[in-house]
Amino acid sequence: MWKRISLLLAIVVMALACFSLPTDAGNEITNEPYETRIVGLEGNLVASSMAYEGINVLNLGFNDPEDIFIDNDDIVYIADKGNKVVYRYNPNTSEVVEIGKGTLASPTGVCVDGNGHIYVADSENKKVFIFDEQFRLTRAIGRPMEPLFGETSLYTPTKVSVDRAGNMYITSTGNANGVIQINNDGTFVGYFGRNTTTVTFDLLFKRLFASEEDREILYSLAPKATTNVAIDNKNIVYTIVDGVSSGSLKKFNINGTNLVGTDLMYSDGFKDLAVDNEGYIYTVSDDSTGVVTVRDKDANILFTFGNTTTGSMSMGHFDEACGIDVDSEGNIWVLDGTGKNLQVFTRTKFATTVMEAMNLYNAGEYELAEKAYHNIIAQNSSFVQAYIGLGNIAQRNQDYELARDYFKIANHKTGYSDAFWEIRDNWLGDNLVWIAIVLVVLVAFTLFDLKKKIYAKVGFNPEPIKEKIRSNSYYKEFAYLPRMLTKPNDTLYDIKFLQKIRFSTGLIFFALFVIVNILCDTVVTAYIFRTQLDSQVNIVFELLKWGLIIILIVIGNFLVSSLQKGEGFFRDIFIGTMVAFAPILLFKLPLSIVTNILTFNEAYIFDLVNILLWAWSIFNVILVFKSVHNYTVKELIVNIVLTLVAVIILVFLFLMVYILFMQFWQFIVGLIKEAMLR
Amino acid sequence: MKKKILIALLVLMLPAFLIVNLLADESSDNYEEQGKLNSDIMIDSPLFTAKETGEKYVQPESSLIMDDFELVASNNNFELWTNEDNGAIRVKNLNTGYLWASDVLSIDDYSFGKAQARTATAAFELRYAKDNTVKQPVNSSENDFKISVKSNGPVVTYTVKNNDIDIEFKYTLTLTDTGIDLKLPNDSIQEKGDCQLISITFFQYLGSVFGSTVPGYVFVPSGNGGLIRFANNPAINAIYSQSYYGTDANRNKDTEEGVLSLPIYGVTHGVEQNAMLTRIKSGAGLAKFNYAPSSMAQYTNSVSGITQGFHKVYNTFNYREPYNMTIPGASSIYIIPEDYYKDDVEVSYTFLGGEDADYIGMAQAYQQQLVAEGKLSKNVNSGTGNVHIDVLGGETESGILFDKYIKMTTTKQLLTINDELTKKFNNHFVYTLRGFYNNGYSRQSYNNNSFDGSLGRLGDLDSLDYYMYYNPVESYGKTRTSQPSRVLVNIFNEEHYITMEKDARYKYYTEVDSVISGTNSTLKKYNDAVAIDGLGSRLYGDHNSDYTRQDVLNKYSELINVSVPMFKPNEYFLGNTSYYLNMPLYHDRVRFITDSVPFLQIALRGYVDYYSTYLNFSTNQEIDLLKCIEYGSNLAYLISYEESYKLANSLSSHLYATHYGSNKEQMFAQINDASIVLNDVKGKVIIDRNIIESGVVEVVYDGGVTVYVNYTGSDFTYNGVTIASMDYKVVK
Repeated sequence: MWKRISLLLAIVVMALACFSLPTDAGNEITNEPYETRIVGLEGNLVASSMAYEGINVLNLGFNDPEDIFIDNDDIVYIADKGNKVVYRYNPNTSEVVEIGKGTLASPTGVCVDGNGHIYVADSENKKVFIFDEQFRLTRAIGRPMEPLFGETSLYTPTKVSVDRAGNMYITSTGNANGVIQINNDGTFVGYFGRNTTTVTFDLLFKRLFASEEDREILYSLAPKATTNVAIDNKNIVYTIVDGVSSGSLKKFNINGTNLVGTDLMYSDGFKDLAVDNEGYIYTVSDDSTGVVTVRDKDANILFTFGNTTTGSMSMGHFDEACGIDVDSEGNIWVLDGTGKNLQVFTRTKFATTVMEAMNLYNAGEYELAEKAYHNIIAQNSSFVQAYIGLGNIAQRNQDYELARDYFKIANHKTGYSDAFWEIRDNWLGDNLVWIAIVLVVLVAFTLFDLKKKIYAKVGFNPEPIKEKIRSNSYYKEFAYLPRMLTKPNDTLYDIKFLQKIRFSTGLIFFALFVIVNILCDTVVTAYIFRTQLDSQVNIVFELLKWGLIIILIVIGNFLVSSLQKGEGFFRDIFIGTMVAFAPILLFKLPLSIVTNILTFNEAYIFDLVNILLWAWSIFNVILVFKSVHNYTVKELIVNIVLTLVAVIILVFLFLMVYILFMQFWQFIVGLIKEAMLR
Repeated sequence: MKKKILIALLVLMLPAFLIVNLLADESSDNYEEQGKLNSDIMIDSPLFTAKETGEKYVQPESSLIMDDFELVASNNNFELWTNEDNGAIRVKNLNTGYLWASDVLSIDDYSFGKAQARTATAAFELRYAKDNTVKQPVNSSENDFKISVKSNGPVVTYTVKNNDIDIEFKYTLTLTDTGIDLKLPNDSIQEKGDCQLISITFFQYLGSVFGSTVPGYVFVPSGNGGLIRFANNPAINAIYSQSYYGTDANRNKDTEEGVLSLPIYGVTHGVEQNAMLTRIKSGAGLAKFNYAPSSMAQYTNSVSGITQGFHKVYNTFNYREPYNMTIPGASSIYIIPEDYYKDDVEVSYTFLGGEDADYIGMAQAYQQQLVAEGKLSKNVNSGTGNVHIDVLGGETESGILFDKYIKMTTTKQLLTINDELTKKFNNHFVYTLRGFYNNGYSRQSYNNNSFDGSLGRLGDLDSLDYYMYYNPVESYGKTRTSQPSRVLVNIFNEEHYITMEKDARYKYYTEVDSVISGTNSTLKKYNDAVAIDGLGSRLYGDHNSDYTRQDVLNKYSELINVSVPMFKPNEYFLGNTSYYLNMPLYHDRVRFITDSVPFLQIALRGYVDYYSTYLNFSTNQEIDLLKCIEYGSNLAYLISYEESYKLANSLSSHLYATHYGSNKEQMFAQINDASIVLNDVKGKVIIDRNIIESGVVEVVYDGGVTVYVNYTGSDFTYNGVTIASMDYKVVK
């Protein structure tokens, strides 16, 4: 509930803040023409020096090039839809051969197998044409006849890929069943890697108002057709889907199980992908930044570079990138369809250092890897993988404090927790005797009531002081908080009928509630259990989150219940609600303190207690509404629903007033500026 | 009782903590080791200079027919011919016999349409506006123009009138010992009726080449210098058009393009045969550099049967810049400024022949022109292996309640660094202090020039050769609403800003008057020990003070009358530059540039002490170090004492490689390497540069010192000298 509401508020605040789209400029220090980004310490993309340097631009007179493929001998094939031809370009001799002239109508995908046979997907002829190594047409694969293919299933081949056994993997526009798999002799084997749809509220809402046609095309509930497919040298199949934000890149094992997560930072504009011999994955998209992305074998982003800029003449800028492949030297070839050129990028020393470090670490060469990681950090101190790597190595070397420090820099909470676990374990081991002694003393104190005996011995009588405290008016009111936990009904009776708690004390509770929550969430709770990073904390937003929500509930309920024959006055609702949060007020702070000695292994304790505290509090709030207004259960339910509705209406009202005011304010500012400048 | 239970629980929980959970074994997939960076891949890229083919070019006799042209001026070196109908010119180099033409020679061989042929023979193209509309360009070959040509010794005057367009102007061509000088004084331009001058382009086809029919290249002042070799099918399909001083922030909302390093360009027809260097001596503030690739507007040559376009390179002078103004509540209106820019235009064309006819000759010719004008003087102490250390002082990060100040380098820490450096090296270290004003680097502004006491005392640094980094032009805001004071308000009555990385970093420009007052007070405050950035390359007008770009250029060049370190100064500041900082090692990597050449370095070597871009931010450090050695460039670093990840949440997150401790070993080795070479060539001028083999370069200095650099993956022997792979050799 809290999370939802805070999320809603966050969205609103962000929506208000986003009034200009960034037109990113390059880095003034390095003077590089396009941006390169890496994954930074907060898991976001941050600036970096170039990972790939542009070394060549090729223009063979392209018209509408759609796909690129590089074979094992580094020969480059480009399918040009506009010129209805496949170009075969030899980079060593600059020799160009045109394949399929006269046969091809709309070549949109090209691929070459180990024998030098060229497979071309032709979306207009609705066939996959196969040419031999002499560029003669040998076969054409049309629509599969097998009933398994489906009577209504579409067959418009756009891309094709071939595995070592000669099986073809064909993507077809409009075919949501997955990649069409056809074996070497032309038999349809089945569909592969069907995508799933996530039905969102947004989608349903749009469908509600869309035309029949739009509903089928734009807002379809059927899964998207796979956009492109690639196969690596271990016969692992990779697919991408354009136009979805989650799970748009998949890596399948032989059983068709996806091996990579769906929540990694993905583009929703994927056009093509390639995999090199070492398993690094290269993707291209038409996003405004990060056109080309290089990922490790688990699809974690290593580098992303390039910009989509219409009409730019700089290296690394694309009008609309559509194809990508990698040659045996690791050079990336990126095809720009609208820009009608092919740009080639080569690894810089920096990128080589990064990949070397990864490979060394994976090969168990920890000492060398450590050195390489330090090299990376010297060149870019924001490279999060390097700190995680160093942390892991320190952990291995049993230097847990160092590991913890590296994980802290990297904001790597699991690593931090593991390192902390070891540190705590060591500490406990070292201090076992002392811990035992302290425990024994504590237990003795309670079991044998040593406190009283000591007081008696020194002749100290605490009773008068205790009496004084008990007679303090605030103490009496504060005592209702623990009482709420055990005797809620009595407490609420006292509040409602005896007015035992003053309104001002209610305000103090309110302030305490806000302060405790903010303090716990930002400072007191252990680093690994905090949900937001220090740099993300916005104090105004926090104040609004905790303060406003209480005020909204109280006001909302007051408005609703006064219409609903509720007996409660505003002060009763307010004080009652505040007292209802007694579990939070009393236990959140101690719980937060305790988290400082916990690791993720004991996270369930924290989670459980936390959920308990909030559930208890919400139960109390409902109880307050019931008893303050003296409702029956049925009335109570209606009351709660209406209160929530009222809260939503209040938020909308506030936003409307706010937006109107801001517009009015901007109008005034504009007016003054105009008057001053004219 | 409750307490007892609680404690019992606690006691029970403790053993749970003591249970040891072993960490999961890390997966150990066997990855093959990555191959080393293949520098051989890079040496054939546009980031290096290609080996000359040695192909010679002879102009066909048939193309040298001078019908319609008359000799109007001549001297010992050149003859100037002109066509009195359209003003087209041809310059004959008497030493080489080469004919440079502003029209297309043997034009009848090409499949030009009539209008295209007129453009190809015209001396100039004019754009004008009438009734608030910009009209199609007209050129001097069209009938309406009446051009009268008068020659008076070396000076030829062209008076231009037009029956339909009420714009008259007069320009002169002066034949000099090195070429011709074009002058178009602003007071000779007269708008008599309701026509408004927009722009003039002179000699569009001068130096043009059809496809790859002539061996040679265009030289572009991009970065330290780039070449566009004449070839068929260049990588772009549109005209590249670039203001020498970048986009004018005064006339733009939120865009920013690159700048060119010098107001010049060159063309070579046959390497070491004939070349032309064009230099804008006045009016570069109005000028745009244009390169039209041969992939555009293709024609067929009836003799050779080739179909290609022309590579053209020319300047356009924009006298008015129309714009769209959006009016709140209405659609936009098109505004053509009432006045045209009142600036004189002067362009010199230098024709080079024989050995001088390449980019090296151009750089030397340019150098000699600057020397003759007193803008450069010999400096024997230049290029001696000084090292530029840019030091980052402090930075501010927005915090929960209060901003957090991050100390990156205090004066004490800087002294420690200096101690370490001076103990190890005899080199002279030049320090620039960046972010040492109040509240750190990203809070820079024209009026923030007080030394930040929390970093120590400036007096501590008296023993160092230090300069306060000062960039009065740019300032930053975290949000659009918290903009700094006195920012430039453009013609749209909006603050001009650029969105920078990390989504919420806005760069603003400062209004010109504040830049000037701020610079004056800062220079005074620190007794001229100030390193100036921002003024030297990007220029913008300021319509609120009625300054055009040319006005600002003039104001800036008057502003500084001492020699101070400058970041990337253009020609107008070269006379006041003690250290040229951040001199690029590459061009700006535009797609059509085919070669990288050290034009800036050749032009300034021996005259200005220049320093490279920051090596610790370089992505190919080995190659860039060799580039510095090859170019005779002093090294530069941008460092901080503290680790740079501390900047991750600040606006300086793009300074990700400053940590001195992580970089120092690399630095030491690099300084060591460069010093060996730079000691041998201090104060010397580069007289020649040859590509022996792809990736192997020979640089010849005066006094008989030669530096060889080998960028390839294997050793190379030349004239008995072996240069190891990725290494250099000095031969005296």
